[in-house]
Amino acid sequence: MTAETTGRALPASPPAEAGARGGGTARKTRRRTLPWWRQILSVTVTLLVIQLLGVTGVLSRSSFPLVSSVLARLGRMTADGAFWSSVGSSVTQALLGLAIGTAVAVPLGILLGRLPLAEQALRPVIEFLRPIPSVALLPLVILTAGIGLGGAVILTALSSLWLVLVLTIRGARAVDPVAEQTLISFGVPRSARVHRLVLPSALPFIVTGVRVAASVSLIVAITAELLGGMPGLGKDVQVSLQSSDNVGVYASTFAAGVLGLLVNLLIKPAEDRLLSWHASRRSV
Amino acid sequence: MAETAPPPAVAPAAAPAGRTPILEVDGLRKGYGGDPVLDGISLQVFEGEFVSVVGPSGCGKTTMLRCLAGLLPFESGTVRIDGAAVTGPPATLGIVFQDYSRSLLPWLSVRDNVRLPLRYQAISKKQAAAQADEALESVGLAADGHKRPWQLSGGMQQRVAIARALAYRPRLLLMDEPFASVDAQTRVELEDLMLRLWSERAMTIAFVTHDIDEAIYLGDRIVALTRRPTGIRETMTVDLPRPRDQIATKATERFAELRASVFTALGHHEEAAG
Ligand SMILES: Nc1ncnc2c1ncn2[C@@H]1O[C@H](COP(=O)(O)OP(=O)(O)OP(=O)(O)O)[C@@H](O)[C@H]1O
Ligand SMILES: [Mg+2]
Repeated sequence: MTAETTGRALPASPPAEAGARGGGTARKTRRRTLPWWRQILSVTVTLLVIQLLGVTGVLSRSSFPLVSSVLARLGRMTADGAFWSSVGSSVTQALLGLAIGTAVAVPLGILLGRLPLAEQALRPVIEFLRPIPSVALLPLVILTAGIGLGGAVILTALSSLWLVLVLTIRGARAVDPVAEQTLISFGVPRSARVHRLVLPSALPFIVTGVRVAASVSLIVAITAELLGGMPGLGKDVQVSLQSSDNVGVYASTFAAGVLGLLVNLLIKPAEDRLLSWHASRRSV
Repeated sequence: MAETAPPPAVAPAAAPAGRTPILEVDGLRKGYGGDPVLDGISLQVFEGEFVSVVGPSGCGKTTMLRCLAGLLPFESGTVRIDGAAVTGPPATLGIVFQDYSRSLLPWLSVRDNVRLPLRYQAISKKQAAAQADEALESVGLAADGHKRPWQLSGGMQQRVAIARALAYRPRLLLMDEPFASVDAQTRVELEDLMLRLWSERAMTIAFVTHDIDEAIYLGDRIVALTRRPTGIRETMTVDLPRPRDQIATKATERFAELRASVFTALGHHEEAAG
């Protein structure tokens, strides 16, 4: 699952050029992703190779079922309402958590980015909480919130919160002082500067954070389902595992991978639209 | 205030009689972390004047403009605009920075960049739109309002920044080396544009530049600064007739004399404009 969800090379930090607005002398050429048909082609070839390895007996049939039987199972599963309700649960848990985490992180990040004193005061708390993997909180969440959808959402919201928060703080600091002084001298009030200047300046960072958080959120949701028994594809994998249904394990895992891909595919156009003005994606 | 005797043939500027000062700076001091930059700047700018400020690189011209604009607190001295001490950004003041690519917002269209400051003025939307369009028109960008700043050339972007300031209708316009990063031809055009706009509007301009020819060509007076810690070396009246002409004015003997005086004031051998 992770291979697919992280397929688009997660940047560890926001786009390097995000701070440099305008200018354009050192315009970085945009990294190109493969066109969709080549992505599909490469997936198909990979699957064919694995199938071949299975048929020829290189891969043991008991631990690596044939790709064809996994796909056949997946085909049958899609005719089943239970599968779609699992997909629905996984997606809801991932996206709801992402939405909640982002909704808290963006205003908080802007605030902390603009108020260095508040940020300094809160930094130890943030630095203490941030490295805790969401999954490590799973037992706590199960004890307090149970194994329903809500429990998983707490975890995905937390994981999204930290990712988006850290980048938003950095983004809020990336405001160009010349732009800010210009607006101040033209009498643009502070509150208006936040949404006219600070927010758009921070947007490339925020968007990067949300994109990374979306992938991670799905991973966290599936992990919680797998380990904690929250409803979703992860739980299906666990159920199949316990009934020694190897094909079922692979089919559900594959479905989770496809979900990860779809999340990335859907985010991309939104990102391009939001940041069309940004130096890294101008069409000139 | 000038330690050296003024060079011959150029009279030190006297306060124009009967005119009201719009900007009064008295004993302005400002440093960064105990390192003095501005060391007692005193000057007056009168209503309707075009004052050029020249000084060596790094002497604190930008620092001075920021103090005048109420963007930077200073250690001592007073800055008054229309007689009132400056504590924050004065409403009657507009500013054009050198770095247009950083002062224009890339996510807004040219027109929205120009309109943005007007949203927070006590004027109607319609009036704001009219002022913005008129300003764009006057800098020759009426047809480019829908574009993003980065789709324009450097000279056009600086014209957007000028239009934004004009639309704001400031009585005092501060310009910080606004033409330092455009090519020579564009620079000449922008200089003449500024002279035209200044003569058409009731506007006082304080114009910082590295370029001595530009300072003389544009100004009524030239304020020459010293090296750090920075004071005023000399103030000279530019008694060249207006309207000025890039070729004819610069070809006059008087222009050459003024040029020599300013060069001398700045210690010409070390200032190769830069
Ligand atoms: N924020 C700051 N912190 C510390 N020192 C500063 C700061 N801004 C400017 N300085 C220093 O103050 C001095 C004056 O800077 P300033 O930018 O005002 O000069 P300037 O005359 O505008 O220079 P230039 O002609 O190159 O534009 C410089 O030596 C600079 O290094
Ligand atoms: Mg400067």
